[in-house]
Amino acid sequence: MLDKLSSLDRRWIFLAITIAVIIPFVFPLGLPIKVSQQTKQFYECIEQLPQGSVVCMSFDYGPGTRVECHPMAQAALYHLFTRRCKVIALALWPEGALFAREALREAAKETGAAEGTDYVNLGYKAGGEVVLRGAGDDLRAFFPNDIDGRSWDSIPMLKGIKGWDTIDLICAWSMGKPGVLEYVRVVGGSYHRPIITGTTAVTAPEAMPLVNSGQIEGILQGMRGASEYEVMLKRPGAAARGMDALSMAHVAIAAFIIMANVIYWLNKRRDRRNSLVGGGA
Amino acid sequence: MKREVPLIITFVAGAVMIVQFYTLPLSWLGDLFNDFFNIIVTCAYVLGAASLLIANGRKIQRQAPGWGYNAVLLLSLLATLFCGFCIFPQGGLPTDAGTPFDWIFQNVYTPMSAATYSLLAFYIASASYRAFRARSAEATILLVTAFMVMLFRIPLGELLWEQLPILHYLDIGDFIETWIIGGFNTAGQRAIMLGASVGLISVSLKILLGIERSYLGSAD
Repeated sequence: MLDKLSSLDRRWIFLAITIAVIIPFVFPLGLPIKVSQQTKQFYECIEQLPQGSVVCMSFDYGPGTRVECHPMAQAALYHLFTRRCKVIALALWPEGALFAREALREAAKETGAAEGTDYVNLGYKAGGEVVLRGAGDDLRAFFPNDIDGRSWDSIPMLKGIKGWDTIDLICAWSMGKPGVLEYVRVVGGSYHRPIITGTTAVTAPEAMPLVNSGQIEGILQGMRGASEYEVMLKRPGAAARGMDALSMAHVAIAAFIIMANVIYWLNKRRDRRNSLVGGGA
Repeated sequence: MKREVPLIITFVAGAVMIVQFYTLPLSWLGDLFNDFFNIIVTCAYVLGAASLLIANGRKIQRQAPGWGYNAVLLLSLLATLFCGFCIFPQGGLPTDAGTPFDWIFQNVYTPMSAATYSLLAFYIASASYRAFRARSAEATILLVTAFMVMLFRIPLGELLWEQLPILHYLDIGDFIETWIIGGFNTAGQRAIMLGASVGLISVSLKILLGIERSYLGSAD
């Protein structure tokens, strides 16, 4: 029995995880979500922005991590637009520009923000860190048109925008490279602009030293961070809905780890006993 | 000359970028080299697509094992390119909502990428079951830490913790955030970042000075 369990077919594990993820979607658990200090800090960074501030939002994620980063972006856009801030969206990841368009349109529908006066999507530019460095004093040089081909001069909200110095806050949705670390190096390091970020749960530990040192002023960590932020905004969305499923999946994996270790110790004890019996004989 | 020219280009580009960073009047040189970089990156996309076509085309021609996958890849590439270059409304862009290119992105690429990434959860569960054992003191520390972060940073875990006698007085979420993630993890990450940065500087210098030449490929 122990041997059978220790070499359990992985398809049983897959089945258990599938069931654990599906159950909360059929029977929502409605678990309470506690807001962490990091999320409060992120929220405060946006709360403290004066009306009319210009925020550059960088969409640096792909479809794989959309489920974690996109709800953060939607919630932050809602927050910014309700506080009458202006948003310049750009992307260092090719897919990011299309996700930016989707998030901006949804937030605009919800808040009544207008394209061109409250927000603009400058689209994707290849080059990562080099783009950030090159656009340093003149964003227009790297983004002469928005994603729909409208020229920089024809977009009212871009009047007065030059380089990073004219941006009040950088908000980077980051799942890897290029991402928030590049913003910290270039825009934070050389232009001293405040930076906040939302990362996947996997990449958050990498950003934590920069949060502790104050180079990143606020961070949303993975889907949990997104759900906490949604709770703070009193606007539960995709992340809050997904937390039940995430909880169940984590509990299932934890249960498997406990089970595997119990089996391991039982096996070890049995082997030790067998060797003692064998030695005695 | 085949190797000397790239070495000279590398040295000049690297040296200029370092010098302009510390010399404000020469910052225009940095901008100029940034422009070169962007032109090269754009060309690299074309080169990448051509390389993909050639490498996969050869496999299909030879009917190498698994050539069907190469055919699917090439067909997908060509179909997406065709939609991106040829099918979009007059005066519009291929990325506009409702175009075939946008349809492929929204309904094929995005769900397939998400599905591939989400498979990780299943493999992590399977790998945890097989490999995450308390075999030694170090493994046990790692196991307990990972277990705590995984279980008690989710609402269900916090709820479970609150049912524990005495222990529930400790705010487990705050403990994990402050001590495990903000303390031990940050210390470790800093060490890794510093080590990696020193290594990066050393490798960069070796490349600029022509000591490290593996990026040039083989000698022939």
